Amino acid sequence: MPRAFAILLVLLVLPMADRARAGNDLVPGAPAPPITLTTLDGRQLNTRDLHGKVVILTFWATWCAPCREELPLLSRYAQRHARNGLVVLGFSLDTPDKLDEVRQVAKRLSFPVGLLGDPHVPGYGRIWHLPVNFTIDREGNLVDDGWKDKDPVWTQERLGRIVTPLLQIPR
Amino acid sequence: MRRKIDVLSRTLAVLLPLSPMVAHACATCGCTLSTDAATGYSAQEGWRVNLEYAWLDQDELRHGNGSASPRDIIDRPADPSADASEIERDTYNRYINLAVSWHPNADWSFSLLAPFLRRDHTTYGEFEAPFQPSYVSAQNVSGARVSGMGDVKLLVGYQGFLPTRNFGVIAGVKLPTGRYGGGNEDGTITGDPVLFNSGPLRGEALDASLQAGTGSTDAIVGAYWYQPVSQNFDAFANGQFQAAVSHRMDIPGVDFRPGNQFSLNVGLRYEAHADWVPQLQLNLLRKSADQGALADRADSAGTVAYLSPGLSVSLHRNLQAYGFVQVPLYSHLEGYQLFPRWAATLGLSMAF
Repeated sequence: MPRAFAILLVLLVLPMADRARAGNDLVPGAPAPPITLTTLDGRQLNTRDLHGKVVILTFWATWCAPCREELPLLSRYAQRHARNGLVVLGFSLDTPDKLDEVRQVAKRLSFPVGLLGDPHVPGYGRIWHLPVNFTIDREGNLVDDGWKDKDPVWTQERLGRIVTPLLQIPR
Repeated sequence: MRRKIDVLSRTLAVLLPLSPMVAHACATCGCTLSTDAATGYSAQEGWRVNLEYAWLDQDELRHGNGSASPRDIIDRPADPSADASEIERDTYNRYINLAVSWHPNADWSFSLLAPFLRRDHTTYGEFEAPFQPSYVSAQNVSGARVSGMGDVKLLVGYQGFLPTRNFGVIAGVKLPTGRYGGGNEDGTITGDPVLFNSGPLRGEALDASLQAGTGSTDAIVGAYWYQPVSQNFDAFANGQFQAAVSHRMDIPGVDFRPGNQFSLNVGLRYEAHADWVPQLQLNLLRKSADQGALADRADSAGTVAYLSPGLSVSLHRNLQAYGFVQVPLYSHLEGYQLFPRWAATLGLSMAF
């Protein structure tokens, strides 16, 4: 009887494992789920208000070495293409006790940064590994689903391949 | 080259980082749930308090991998050299476990774990072969109740090895704070044991292994790890070894030393929802035989495995409730031991 109960439980858990493969509502080409960045200086930036812009959502943390490598590159790219309508929103997964460190990193970046708080982001699922990035086109549609990138770190080549073509589309 | 770092969920960042199973004075029974995994590991600074109620009814006689009967105990004794063998009837355990931990920073933690228990034990007593049905009659039942504080644990944890703080080690001691003692066949009593309060054994000392405490000071070492393994699942594992380094019941003829025990817990937490987390634990426990004249050496070792489904729920920002059921999957018990068919745990955890 106990063994039958255990087997039943495992059978109940298996569908959860199946659902876990998805874990989010992201569909490239479909509208990207809205998300709000509360910046370190208290501003609220919602992707709903960024229609007509190309938006990169980047998730990082001070303790994430690959993130720290890609952030300067992303910052330079964001600065260079701001006039073309590029907006980068930086979500830090650091805890509030690391706020000073986050501010130190943010000072050197050209784009706004804030603490994410709860890693369960509606529509995007749980932010469970870093770095991860999502790219949204001027129409508000998801272009690049970071969960599906085998190598999620931004490189010049990758920015040129994914983001630059979007910026070349007139507003 | 793929470069990414797994993030440790902040829903995990609540409550007890190092509250291992509370040690109970019993044979190879079901006190195995990993509370730390149940509530989630933490790197948060501050205090945490965990209050837990657990119960398990050891009402099934088992031997080796299967069930046993009173007839087996008498006609196929675990210790053939003994004149008689005991037919135990039931041990019903209820525990209130209090754990208080302090995290001065994200790397270190200090914990105190105090169990309070009520244990009702009944036995038919010892009999010689061959088995007679009258041995298991109601008039032979003797009972004892153990009630009070058990053995307290003091633990130190460190998890500063990795920036993600998802691997930690613990070390600590179990102190002989619970009432302990026993008596041998000559009637010599040591310590301050609970006595049988009903039946033919009334006035005799309850077994040393069933008292609230073991009378021993134990060293504890362990380690834990947890990791997101997909967008919705975290995996965890923790192991702990506990061994007596000194025992107060050390007079030859009335000595007792609890067996060493090693526990290993592995499991998955379903992290799709911030406020409620279903999870599944597999709890393994290996206990070696108790030692000494007061030990039931032939009937106290074994290996058991439980499957433990459960759920933790955030009731408030810093308050969590959790509940688990433990179902035995496997047991290999030396001699004859009372074993639970299931066990359950309910708990509340608060961080501040």
